[in-house]
Amino acid sequence: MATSTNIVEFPSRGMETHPDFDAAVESGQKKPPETVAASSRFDVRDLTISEAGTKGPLGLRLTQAELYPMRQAYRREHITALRLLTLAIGRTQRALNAAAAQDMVDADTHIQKLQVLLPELFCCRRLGDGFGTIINSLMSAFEVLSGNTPDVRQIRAMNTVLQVLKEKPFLSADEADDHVDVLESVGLSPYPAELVEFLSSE
Amino acid sequence: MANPGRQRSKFPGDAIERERAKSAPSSNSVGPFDLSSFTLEQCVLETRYPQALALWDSSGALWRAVQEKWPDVRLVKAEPAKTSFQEGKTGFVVELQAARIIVLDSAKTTDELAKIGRDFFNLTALHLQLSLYERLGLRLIYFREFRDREEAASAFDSLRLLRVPETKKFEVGEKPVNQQYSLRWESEKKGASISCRAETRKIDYDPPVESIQIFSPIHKERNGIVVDVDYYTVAPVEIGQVDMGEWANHALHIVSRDTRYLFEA
Repeated sequence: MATSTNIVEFPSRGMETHPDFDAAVESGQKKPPETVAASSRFDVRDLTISEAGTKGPLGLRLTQAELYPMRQAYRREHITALRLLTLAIGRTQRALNAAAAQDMVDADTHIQKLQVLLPELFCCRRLGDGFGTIINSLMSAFEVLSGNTPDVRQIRAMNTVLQVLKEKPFLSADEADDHVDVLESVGLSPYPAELVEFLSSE
Repeated sequence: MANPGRQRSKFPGDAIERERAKSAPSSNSVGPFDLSSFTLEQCVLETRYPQALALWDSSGALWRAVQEKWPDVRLVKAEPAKTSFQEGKTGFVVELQAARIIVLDSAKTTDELAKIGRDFFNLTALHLQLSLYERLGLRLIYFREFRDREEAASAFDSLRLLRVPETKKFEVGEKPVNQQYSLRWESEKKGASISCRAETRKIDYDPPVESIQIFSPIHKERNGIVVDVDYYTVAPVEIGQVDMGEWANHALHIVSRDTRYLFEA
């Protein structure tokens, strides 16, 4: 693989009816012999032998903050989602701490605060189908809980799913389904009550 | 796009001829200039991924989906390991280990580029069943034309990027021309390279004898300065982390912010 992002070489052979996108030459490749241009496309690969930009260290991943470092370049729903997810993760964490301290009233307070964030998070579903799927699942889970406080395992599963969503807000619907299964595995019902009722009436 | 102070505006150089006239001053003296006086010639947005063998199964379905989104897209070339289409001055290429969009239309806005990038790369990820990107790259090539090679060299010198010997070297009395300056920054996660060079481009075209009444011969030389910026990721990213439109927007902001140093006194 090339060290640089591929480009279309400057068309030096004369008139072309359209730019030859297919001729995207990897930087450093020799130009065809018929080229008469003195176009000097400097080849950085001549200086660096390493495969720059490819095959990063295994296990190393870029975080959202590293991928999207410019605050002013965010889409509104993206930055809103990240802000709300940070809040939501904090609230589940505090609920877990309260539950660990046997203070279920405090845990319930934090869980209720989490629940009220979900409709606003659902408004950010333009980020992707996977995002909408997970938020919808959490909303359904709360609906089926009917005001009861989820147990520690369930809060922990919510925390895990929210953390995944914060790191991968653009996940696909298929990948989201895997995380919905995590919620289901701890006894939460991630499907709308109406849907469950409809399916069970068949 | 990506020109300082013009983030939301159209590419500065749609009317390339106008730009040429503006940037070809009559005297040899070259005043201060910055990236906003350049024309964005080429913008490439690229993803690289581990071998996507699904390309051989899903290429047709992928391009049909692309065609539904951009009905005017037309086939340029189709080979087993590489297919490319184009719509106007925008090219779409999908290979076994890379996919990219090439925009030669400086009239496109950043929002248009982001939308094209988001839609195209979402489709490629879906049809090629990708789970990981090994590299994301945005490469921008700017050009500013000068009257001749010496004027381009003088403009390059005015940037003071290089320390050039004052005395005669290699038995040549003339000042150096077609200078080049290149730097690369790279961490374990991200990288960028920048190249600034004075360039001479020659076009010599003689039409075939059967079309000589339609086309005129072209013998032309263009001299100018090229600023070539490549911003990319080094560490892999998972598909669910990436919205290419969003990433391109961030990359454009970073490039326009950090390329200015070239023109600082």
